[in-house]
Amino acid sequence: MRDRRWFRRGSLLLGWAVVLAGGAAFAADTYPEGCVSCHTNRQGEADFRLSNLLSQIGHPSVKRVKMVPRDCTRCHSTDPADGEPVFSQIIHEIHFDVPKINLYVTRFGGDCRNCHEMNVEEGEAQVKDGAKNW
Amino acid sequence: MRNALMLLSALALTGLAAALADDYPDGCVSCHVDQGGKDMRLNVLLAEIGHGRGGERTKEIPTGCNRCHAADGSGVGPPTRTIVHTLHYRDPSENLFMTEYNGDCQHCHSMDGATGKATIKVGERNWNMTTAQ
Repeated sequence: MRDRRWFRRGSLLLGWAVVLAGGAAFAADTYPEGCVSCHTNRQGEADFRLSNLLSQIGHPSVKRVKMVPRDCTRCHSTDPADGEPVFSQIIHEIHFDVPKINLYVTRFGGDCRNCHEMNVEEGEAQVKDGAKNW
Repeated sequence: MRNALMLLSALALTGLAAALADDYPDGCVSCHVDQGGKDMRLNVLLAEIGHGRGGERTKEIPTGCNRCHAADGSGVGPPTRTIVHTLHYRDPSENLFMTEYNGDCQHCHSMDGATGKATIKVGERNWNMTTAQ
């Protein structure tokens, strides 16, 4: 009788532990540092670090960049009045153009919150930043 | 064998099209509807919290809200985006927008992949005026 009671209590505790762990996993941010959390050099996969991808398209050296994407805006404008595509548009276009075959949409669900986070107190969406990983 | 492959391809394309389809093309008013058991239309929700009647007269949602809730903070109320973001993302473990709708920005915003511009979806109000305008 006592064994059965302990089994029931144990099951209940285990159930709650699973629910709480699931909730924590749901709330966890898989890409807390935005660009550099996703653009990495994972073992067994292609080198997706931005330094590597940018060198492939002939982009000037990004050695001096420290925080990504903050420091990209040293050269890439954020002001639409400058008459050239602003930095956000470049990044959005790369990640969302031709959604049927765009890796960011097909594999990562095109989730805005991989790169942005919501400041709930201010009610403002912000861009995540991270130290360069190259 | 060829038929089976064609069927599989058709199913895959249908699935992809369904995944890319927009369930909320008009943003706020696509989601905030009278669900039968619970009337989630914005005019009802706003009346519940004692919002002024100006909200009921608004024709285009949410752009019309900016008459009072200007984006630059110059209106009589806080900017629309500040209010809407806070309402939809605070207390994420209990917030219906997070728990039921996965907090997906693209329910309310649309992305033009060709230009890289994110915009706010707009739709006409889905309620009738109860008094003359």
